[in-house]
Amino acid sequence: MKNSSKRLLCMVLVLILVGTFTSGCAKKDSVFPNKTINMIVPFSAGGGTDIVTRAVADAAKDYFPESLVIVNKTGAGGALGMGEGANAKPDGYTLTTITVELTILPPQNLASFTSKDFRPIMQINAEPASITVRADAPWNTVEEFLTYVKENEGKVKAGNSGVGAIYHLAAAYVEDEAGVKFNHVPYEGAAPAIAALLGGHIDVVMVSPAEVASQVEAGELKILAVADNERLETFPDVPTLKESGYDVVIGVWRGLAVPADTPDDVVNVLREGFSKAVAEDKFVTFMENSGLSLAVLDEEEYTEKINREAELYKELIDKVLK
Amino acid sequence: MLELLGNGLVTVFSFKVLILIIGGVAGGIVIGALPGLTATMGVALLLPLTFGMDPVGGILLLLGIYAGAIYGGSISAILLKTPGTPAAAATVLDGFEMAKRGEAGRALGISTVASFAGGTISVILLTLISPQLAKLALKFSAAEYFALAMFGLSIIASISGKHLLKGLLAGVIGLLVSTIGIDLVTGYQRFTFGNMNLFNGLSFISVMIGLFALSQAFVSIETMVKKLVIKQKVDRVLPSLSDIKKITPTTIRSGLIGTFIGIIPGAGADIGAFVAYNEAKRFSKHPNDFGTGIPEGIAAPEAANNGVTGGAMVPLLTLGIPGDATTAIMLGALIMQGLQPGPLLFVNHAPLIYTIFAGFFVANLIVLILGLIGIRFFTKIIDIPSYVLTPIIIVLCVVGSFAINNSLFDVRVMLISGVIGYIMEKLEFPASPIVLALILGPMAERELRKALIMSGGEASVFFTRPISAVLLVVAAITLLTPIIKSIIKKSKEKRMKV
Amino acid sequence: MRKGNLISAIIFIIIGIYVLIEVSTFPNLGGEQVTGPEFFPKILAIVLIVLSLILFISTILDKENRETGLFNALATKTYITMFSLLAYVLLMGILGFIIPTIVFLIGMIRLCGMKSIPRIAIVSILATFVIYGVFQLLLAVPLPTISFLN
Repeated sequence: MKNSSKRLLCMVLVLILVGTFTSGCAKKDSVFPNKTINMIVPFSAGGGTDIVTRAVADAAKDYFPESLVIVNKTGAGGALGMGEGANAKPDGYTLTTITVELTILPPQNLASFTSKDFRPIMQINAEPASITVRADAPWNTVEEFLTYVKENEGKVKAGNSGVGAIYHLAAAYVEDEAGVKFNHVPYEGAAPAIAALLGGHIDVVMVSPAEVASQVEAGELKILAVADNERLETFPDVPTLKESGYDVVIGVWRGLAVPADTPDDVVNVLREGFSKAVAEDKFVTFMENSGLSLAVLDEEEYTEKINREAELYKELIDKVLK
Repeated sequence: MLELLGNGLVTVFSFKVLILIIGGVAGGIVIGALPGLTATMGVALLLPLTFGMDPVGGILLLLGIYAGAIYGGSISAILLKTPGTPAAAATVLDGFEMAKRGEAGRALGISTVASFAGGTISVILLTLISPQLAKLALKFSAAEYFALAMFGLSIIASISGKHLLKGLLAGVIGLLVSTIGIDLVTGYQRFTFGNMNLFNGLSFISVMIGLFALSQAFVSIETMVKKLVIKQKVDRVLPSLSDIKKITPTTIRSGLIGTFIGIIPGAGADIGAFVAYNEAKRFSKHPNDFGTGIPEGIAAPEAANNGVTGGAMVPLLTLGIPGDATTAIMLGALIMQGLQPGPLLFVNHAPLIYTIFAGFFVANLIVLILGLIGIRFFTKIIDIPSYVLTPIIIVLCVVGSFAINNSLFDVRVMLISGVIGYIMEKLEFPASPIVLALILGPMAERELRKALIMSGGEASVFFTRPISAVLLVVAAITLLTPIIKSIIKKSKEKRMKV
Repeated sequence: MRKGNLISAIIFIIIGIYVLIEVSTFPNLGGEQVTGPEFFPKILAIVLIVLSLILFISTILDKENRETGLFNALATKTYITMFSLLAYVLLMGILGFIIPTIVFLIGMIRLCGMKSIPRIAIVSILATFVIYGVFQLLLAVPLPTISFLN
């Protein structure tokens, strides 16, 4: 080999070695954050959880000196992504977007973690389940509907987004409180279930109002009730299940969290930055335009909610699936 | 409507939008051609870029990538026997054979023209009769999906060529592998050994990359002779008149098939390509030539897979329900732009929608132009010595399978599939049946059980519903015909030997 | 081919039997479900066994015997490639993307027959950085980095 080629090769190799070794290093003795923060999204690009996270990261970028990078890590209904997030180093450089699946998957042995492995920072978004039927269905109130279901045990077809998933549990919750029985038909997600409802193949779905908003507006579907504590701003004429005497409050939610032992000073920085982000005009407008409800809870309220739901869903799942 | 379309076209032909479409198509072609990256992944990876863009630009960029990538898969399918995306898996059957004879330019030309034609047919239907087509999509319930899946699976018999028994065996193994994961209906874990990575089953793309791209790389390492080059003659870029005459009926039929399959939520370009290939063979006067490198064998899958792109937009825009995996991501893009898909989209945002239709039509045109221009360049790619090309392809397989889900597990799945694919190639087991099995197996099983749940256990439901009944009968015919023909042939041969 | 056919047929039969055994442990909740999680795999396993038997028998009856090519000398390079790939992926998990890829490419291209080492090195380094650029920088796919530095 000629000498000049050898030297060139050596130089290039040295450069590579230097480059690869320094790319991962963080500068010592500096303030958090001093390198890129990863945000794990346990669901696929383009989905609800993904776009909320991207929007919040975009709104937050002015408040953090380092960049926020979204990493989609899908699989096992959210368990893979959340699992990785739970096991990450508690140094604040790995955030995870947690969802209600955090409380649903562990009781079914579908996750390697529990909600205790996370330290929530804040909830960003929450949507209640609903009782949605076709616009031409003969029931106009949730009471009429549930009376019908009672008289036709096991005949009314309720589509859900998957066995053991949130909308299946919502239907089971209703069954429990109202003393009725549905014929649960599982689909691979909310969208196919909604399609089946539109096509007349099933009778009711429990998905969130946001997911059927455009069909309701177009007069193809109608929402009989929502499973929330108060009526929704976006659908003020729709009563809550509580109003009809059924204590059913259940729905999806999304928020940010870090691994459980993350120190306070790091969490404070994160909380400050993201609190400002969710208050930003462009973020609020984005949520409105996308039909998503902004529902911010701080760490204390959020942790309390998560713990409460973890208990509740564990019981519900035990009843429903065993 | 014409007025809206006209205005739409004007908007599209602004510099900014055109650049985005051209860039999208070009990027899409590259993404589709690279083994290891797929159309869905391309759209998913570039979705964040559209975050800050205006609706027209952002969505047309993604549509450009979509159309370009679905076409681009045929490039590596023809040149390297490796489908760049699953949609091109059927193109390998005849495409590579034609290239082996030194006619890669001809094959690429046919693929380009067919892709353009299929895509344009679907955009025309999308523009004119979306709402009506959407109603058709809604008629599909579990029984129909099951029947469709069975029909798709029956095609295994037809594409196995002369290795019918081995093809069926490969198909059955593929079906068994597709049962790995959490059972949709009961939530029970099958064959997962507690490994969370297997909860959703094996990543289909990893298996595809391994089975086709990596195994092909293994094969070419074996035959790595420095002097091996079949001189590719590229004298003309546009297909000859006789070729165009041959492929026209096939292309139109396949474009329509692709569009309709795209309209059905959950059925995508991969299924469309195989169904079109099968139907082209069925309606052909020389069905036994399929698989030897004939124009119709390339035109059919390519017209169909691009036909799916427009079809998949129909339920997305009219119902807010994605027609396939890629449009599922575009749903997110639409929502991000504040456009709620659904019946009111056409009412509230009509000018925007027609601009998108116009832009999509232009994107298909760009596919044609870029594709034809690129043919000479593409065929130069295989002039890169394979001692450099093959190792790079192997690295791309690794990176591509990692990129699906940022997971090294998927890379390992890809590796194992590659080794298995290599062994299969050696033992003359066809690999395409596994593609069909992995895509359609889960659909067949869950829709069967769903239909039975909905009918309360009545199996007759499959035959009392017209669409389902028809599809099942066609499936039976498609499956049994090659088998019966083969048995008759074998017994004739035996009789002649005596 | 005969040996190959026979061995594969036997392997498939074993797989089929394994599936049947596994599947017998699946719960069938009955009631709402008319077909449980064991239904599909069971049918498939039976079909698999039947088809494998047909393969087995027809191979024995068939007089032809073609070469498989699985064990000839040319295939050695392929097997070396397979093992190198394994090592490459394992190393990538520890050392990140860039270095193992360069090493792998250099080794592979040399294996495939290119002669001049400096040229091989330059091509490998170039290719690695182009791929890195396209994936990590353009498409924002976080490729593995050196793990012990994190």
